[in-house]
Amino acid sequence: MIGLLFAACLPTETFYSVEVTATVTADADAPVYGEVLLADTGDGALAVPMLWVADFSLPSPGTLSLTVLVPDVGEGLAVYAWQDLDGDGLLCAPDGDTEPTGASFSDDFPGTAATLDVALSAPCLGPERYAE
Amino acid sequence: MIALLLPAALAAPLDLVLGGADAGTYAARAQVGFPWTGASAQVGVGKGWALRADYETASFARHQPALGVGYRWLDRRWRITGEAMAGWVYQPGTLAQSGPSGELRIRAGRTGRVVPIVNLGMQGILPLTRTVVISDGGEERSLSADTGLTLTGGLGVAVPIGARLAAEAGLDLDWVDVPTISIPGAYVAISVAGGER
Repeated sequence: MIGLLFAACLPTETFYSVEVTATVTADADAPVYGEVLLADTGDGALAVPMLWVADFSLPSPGTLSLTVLVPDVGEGLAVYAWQDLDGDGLLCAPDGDTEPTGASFSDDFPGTAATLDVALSAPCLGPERYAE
Repeated sequence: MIALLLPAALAAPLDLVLGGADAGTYAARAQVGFPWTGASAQVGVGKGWALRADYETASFARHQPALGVGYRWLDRRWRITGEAMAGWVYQPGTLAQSGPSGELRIRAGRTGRVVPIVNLGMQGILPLTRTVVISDGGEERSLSADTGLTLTGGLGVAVPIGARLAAEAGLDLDWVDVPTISIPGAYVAISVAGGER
């Protein structure tokens, strides 16, 4: 009986299955690493400007196409990417290593498809810097 | 308050504090504290068994109603009792949790003018979550279950006041949703009893 009273109050988590298509452009021909992010999630002290959704990589600049499950808790999708020019697997480095980054935002979320263009040009910025 | 109207000189004001009950007696208890506030009621059904109903809330953000049975193993200078409860945990909000729960408790206390009490318990929770996945093909709905464990415990002191009342104060030492860290709480409570043994 108690269970029936509260069964109607079960928390519900809603996800969108989103086809993300991103065209990544850069001057150099080198591997690209990046993340699909959810923008503006949470409220108040629990607000997160860029919530990680998925990682991706490309052997070189080009078109990314992947399907991700995105929780319905944000107000836009973003794709962030950086290019690994020296092949060390790290974005930039204290020794003066400089690598290009870029991000693009889509207002198509909530929705089931998002198309973005990401130009890698700004050096050494993390995804949080694009949320500012 | 109903208990106060009942005709019996042999009521048991410590029955809800220490657990268990004699046939024909019943008792109610109200607790106010931080974070746990709640109320309990039980009726003795004979041979040391009692039927029991609990409602507990942590800062009015987590609600735990439950029904169950209590049994008195030992009733001499020390009283040792056990309880088995089944209920529901409902916690709305950002850290939402909702699902059936079961709890086993053991309780011990030394009868007298001042009654020290210790209780330990283990509560298992089966948090349920509805999941909806929206895609180009439509909506897909599913129900999933997780598991949760809360270790309950407390230390207290009760003082009988006449034949029907008992006042109580103590510490709540529940470890809610192990391994998440919980802070200890404190409470005051009053119990009233009625019925004839």
